[in-house]
Amino acid sequence: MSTHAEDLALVEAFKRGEESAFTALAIKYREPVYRIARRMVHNHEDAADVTQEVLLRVHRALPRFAGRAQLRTWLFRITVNLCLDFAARRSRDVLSGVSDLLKEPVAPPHDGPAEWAERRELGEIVARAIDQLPPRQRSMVVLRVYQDLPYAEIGRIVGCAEGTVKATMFAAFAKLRKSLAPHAVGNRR
Amino acid sequence: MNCLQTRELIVETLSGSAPPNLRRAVDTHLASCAACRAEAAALEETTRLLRDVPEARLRDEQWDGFMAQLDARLAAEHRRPWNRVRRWLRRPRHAWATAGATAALVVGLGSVLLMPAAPPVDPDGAFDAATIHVVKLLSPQVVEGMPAMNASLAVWKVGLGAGEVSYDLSGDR
Repeated sequence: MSTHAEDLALVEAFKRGEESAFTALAIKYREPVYRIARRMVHNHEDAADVTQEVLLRVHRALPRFAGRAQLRTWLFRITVNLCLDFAARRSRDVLSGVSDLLKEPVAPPHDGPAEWAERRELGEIVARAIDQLPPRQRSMVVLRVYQDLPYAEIGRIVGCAEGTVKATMFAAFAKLRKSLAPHAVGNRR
Repeated sequence: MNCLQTRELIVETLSGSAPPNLRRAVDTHLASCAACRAEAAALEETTRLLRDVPEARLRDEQWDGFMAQLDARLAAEHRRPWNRVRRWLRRPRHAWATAGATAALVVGLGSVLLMPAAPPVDPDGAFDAATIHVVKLLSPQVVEGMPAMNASLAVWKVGLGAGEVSYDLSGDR
């Protein structure tokens, strides 16, 4: 069964009153939603809050979900919109969470302490570079680089044409390239 | 394919999965364009830096806490009376029944408000019981004006020869 068909089956079961179908959907999508939120709002508490809010909204709206779009697309659209709202509300201290990027709640990696410290530092640099992008560019980069979604689906999530995604990604990568150039191999001091 | 088009495609092929024909088109252009090759190398390094950042992951016990909190919030929402009514209404068969009942109510109210029995003409301003019932549905200004309207109607009928005048079938008065 394809993911879409599997999701639709769960949605139908939920509409018939099976609450466990929603739990199955929540378990399936909580992690990708959390990861998108984490990349966009940068700290664990806020990302967890966004993830809960997304799932609550999905629970409320699921009885009206007609299945024309993929559930994943719909869910990620809610996630991106909530993250953008969240970022707009917190714009005055938008970078405050960056240093929290890789803190405690994240399971420790398999690297040694030195490598881990280096990766944490790189994480902060990359998070700042992504934060400097305008909100729509930021969401597109997160969806593409970290969720590996095709341009067409990103367009449906963000609400624009595929060609617009292509042009926006090109502009976003030009900025990221500039921001990250000092940290590229061969340019490090 | 020109350099600008190729560079857009380079971003697409480097930033995530892309169809093989797209990659082939980019490779063909790169084989003959040194400037785009340099651009591709720089963008590849940018992508590598973006991907080198470790993915945020929660431990199982953190997810357990998360789900417990979500369940508590859903249960709290479930208990709100308005939400119970809304859920009930949203179920398809209830939604149809509700739509039918609402339509019947609208038609019923409409027939009462828009098609009341015509009040009997009474130049003296005296109303019978049916008229008083209808009067309750009218604004005070209309009720106040009713005797005058009735008087005008009587005058109009007399003027046309229709009021208080008997006819026989032959047309002779």
